[in-house]
Amino acid sequence: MTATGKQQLNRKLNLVPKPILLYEKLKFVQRIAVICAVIALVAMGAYAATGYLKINKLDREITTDKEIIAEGHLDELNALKDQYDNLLLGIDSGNITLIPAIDTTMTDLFTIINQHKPEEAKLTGVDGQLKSTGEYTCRIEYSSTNRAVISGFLEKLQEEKLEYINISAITKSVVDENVRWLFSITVKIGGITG
Amino acid sequence: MGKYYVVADFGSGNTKISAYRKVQSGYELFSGAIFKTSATGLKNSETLQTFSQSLRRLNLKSGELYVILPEDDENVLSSEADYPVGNKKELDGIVKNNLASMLKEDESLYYHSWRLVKPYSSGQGLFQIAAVRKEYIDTIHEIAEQHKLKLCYADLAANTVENLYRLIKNDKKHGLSSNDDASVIVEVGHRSVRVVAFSREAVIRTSAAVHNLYRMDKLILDSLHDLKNDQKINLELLKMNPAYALRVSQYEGFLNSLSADIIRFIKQSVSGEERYNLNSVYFTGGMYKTPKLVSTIKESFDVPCYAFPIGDYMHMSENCIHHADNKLYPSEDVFAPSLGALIGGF
Repeated sequence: MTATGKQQLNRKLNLVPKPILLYEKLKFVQRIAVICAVIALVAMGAYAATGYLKINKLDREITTDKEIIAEGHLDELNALKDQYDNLLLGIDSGNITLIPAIDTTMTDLFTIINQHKPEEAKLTGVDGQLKSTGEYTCRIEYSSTNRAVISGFLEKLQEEKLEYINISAITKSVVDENVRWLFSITVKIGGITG
Repeated sequence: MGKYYVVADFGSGNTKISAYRKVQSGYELFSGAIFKTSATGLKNSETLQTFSQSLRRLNLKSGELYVILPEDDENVLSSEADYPVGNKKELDGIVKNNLASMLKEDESLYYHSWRLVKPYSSGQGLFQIAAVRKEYIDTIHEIAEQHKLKLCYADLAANTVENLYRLIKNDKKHGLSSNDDASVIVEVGHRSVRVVAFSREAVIRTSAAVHNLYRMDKLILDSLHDLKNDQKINLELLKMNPAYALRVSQYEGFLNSLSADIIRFIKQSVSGEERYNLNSVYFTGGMYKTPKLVSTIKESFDVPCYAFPIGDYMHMSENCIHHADNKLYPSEDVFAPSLGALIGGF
């Protein structure tokens, strides 16, 4: 027999049998696994708690949104939000001083519109634009299948005599054989100085 | 906090439990206990119960346990044999086949292990085979588990003393300067003496013999007459005192027998097939300070004899060892095999 395996031969004696040594190693692994499991559990608990808090917050937001939807202001709010975003872009784009309280003006306008808006009339388009000259325009379109509803709404708005809006004439639109009567309000807010 | 290491040295006289932690300069012995090993050793449940109590007193949260087992030719046995140096699997088979001849009982009652002591140029090698009763290791393992310790290593006392040579051989202060030189470590325990001869490269030979010095306790006690009932008298201290030891008529005989064994072992080691110049002799163990022992060895070889510099490798905290009231506070020397086990356990 050769001495080829000499390197692997035991150089020290150990009377602790392999199963016990293995058991001790496994116990160590088990301890590590338990520690990992506890850490994972704590992390999951923290994640769940954060999630619960977020859900609570979202619930509150949903409740607020529901209230807004119930009041019928969501579309207007969305439209306003777009305006504000555009305004911010305007501010960033140049040396422009905006008229104060533009948001208040828009809010007032929507308040007036909503005072007169019949149930059957629907908001069918909002398109705002802030020009590089500082002029802010916004086109708001209302429509209804009933011409009388639209003409009544238009008359009431004209009676308000708002100087910063132009109201278009009533036009007819046919989409998929459905007839709709519509008019638009164009808001032009001046007072913007370069 | 670092890792803790506990060594249980079940000596034939005393069981030494020592707890260590690693420090920059070696090991710090920070806690421990010494108690008498019962006459029947590990066979007696009292020894293991006291062992368990000592571990409880250490109160460690975790650690590794190393065990030093006493050879008794019945429950802890070892032998040496020449086998062909093959691969590990082949040798496992050879050892297993020859195990029955070494044991007095069924081999299924024992755990065994082996090691290559020395390879020969012929392709054969000198192997050491050791076996221990399963119940001992299983009980020690159970106790270790109860006290949150991991049983990692169990070896024979002679092997743990042998490990001490690793500390000396490359030491700048104590190391050997030439390949022809040899040094010897003599560990004198309560009942046995172990002699480890080593060169700069390896252990040359490890020998062990039983001595009679343990009988001195009773003989000195008998010579004390009326004082023998005085609880304050410390026999361990008296037997190290020539005024008492030399008064015992049998002492010269015990000493001669012990020193003759040591001298013979050293001569056989350094004057065998390979010859070495004996450079120095290091003494350690609880009984090496017995009167006239070191001087007898020194006279025989005319070489420097030193106390093994255990303090260079191990620091013992003050009053850290729990021991019986009427016992001498132990010196670091009694923990020499424990230090060897620590070195061997890694």
